[in-house]
Amino acid sequence: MSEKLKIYVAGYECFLPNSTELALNAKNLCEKYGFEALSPILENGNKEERDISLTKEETAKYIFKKNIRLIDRCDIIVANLNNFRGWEPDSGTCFEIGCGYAKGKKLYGFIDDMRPCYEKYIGSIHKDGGLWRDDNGAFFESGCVNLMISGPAKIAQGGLERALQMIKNDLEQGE
Amino acid sequence: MFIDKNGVVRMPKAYLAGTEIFYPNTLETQEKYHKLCEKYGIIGYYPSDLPPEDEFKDYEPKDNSLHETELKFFIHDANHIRRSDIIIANLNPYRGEEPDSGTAVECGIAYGMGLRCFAFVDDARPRKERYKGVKKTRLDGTVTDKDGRSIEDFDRPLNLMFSEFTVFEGTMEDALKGVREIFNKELVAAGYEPFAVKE
Repeated sequence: MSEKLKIYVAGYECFLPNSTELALNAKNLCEKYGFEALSPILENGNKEERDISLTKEETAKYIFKKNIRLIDRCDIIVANLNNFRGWEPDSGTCFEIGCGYAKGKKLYGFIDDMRPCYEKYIGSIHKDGGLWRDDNGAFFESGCVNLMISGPAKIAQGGLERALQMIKNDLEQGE
Repeated sequence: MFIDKNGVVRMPKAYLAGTEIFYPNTLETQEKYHKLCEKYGIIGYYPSDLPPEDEFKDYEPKDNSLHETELKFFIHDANHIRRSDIIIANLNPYRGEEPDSGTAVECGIAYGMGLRCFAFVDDARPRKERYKGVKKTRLDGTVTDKDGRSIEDFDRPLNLMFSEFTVFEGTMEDALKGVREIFNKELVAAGYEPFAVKE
């Protein structure tokens, strides 16, 4: 029996009050599709379980190193690319995607709204030099997320399950 | 000058990650950053800097689709990171509370490739203090946004995934100055002459 492929589940769910429940759901979904989930949420446990002899900064570094080890161990990263507190995905998730790329991992993401960034943006935009720009002059990408994500990652429209279906499909196609 | 991972003393190469390229004055910023890097004894790669000629020798775009164009730009940036020793990233909030996602991805690539990691922000106070929105507190003391999502409380200005980043408060110049001070300390400690910053 071959070993299950390991999926690192990245996203802003760690900030939500029901983060453990969401992480367990994600783990069950991964297992349903024949994968093993590596979850930074489940790996790092509750706040109450933290080592109180460490400073806050040391705790952050400790959690960071644990997450990096999970990324090292995984085969695939699946990232929640929905916007977080503004018009960008969670920066920790983006960092994990980049780190996964550097370590040769396969990259997948999921997002509710696949429209180009400039269509999704609620705010005034104008066209200048062929590009849509916001009121500060910053241009918008044409993809549904920044090209540093949509370049290397395959993105599914919907939730985690859609991304897992996409991965399973790609594996069956020999990708 | 700096001492690289192999103990060789040479000019450090820095990838200058950030949102500056999105703005109409990107060419001015590119020139300004190159001059600043020269002042501090660093070779700077601005994202739109042209690559050496062999850039795409391992990559052939399949067609003119959006995806292939995106992938080409991605590889261009990733290659700049690959040939650099350090990253200096503008991690200021962008269109909201989070830094630009492209810059954040580049930070992850840089860390994963073993570069030394530096960043700058206007406000380097802890994340909880920097957060501009309405804050609430859960019963267990966790500080959250108005939607009940926790805000990091690790005495660091950014998401904990940037824990290995030395964060300078200020501009790119402040970051370059800080990096040069660190490199000079290391040079002197190893018995070499520090790099003299041209004022």
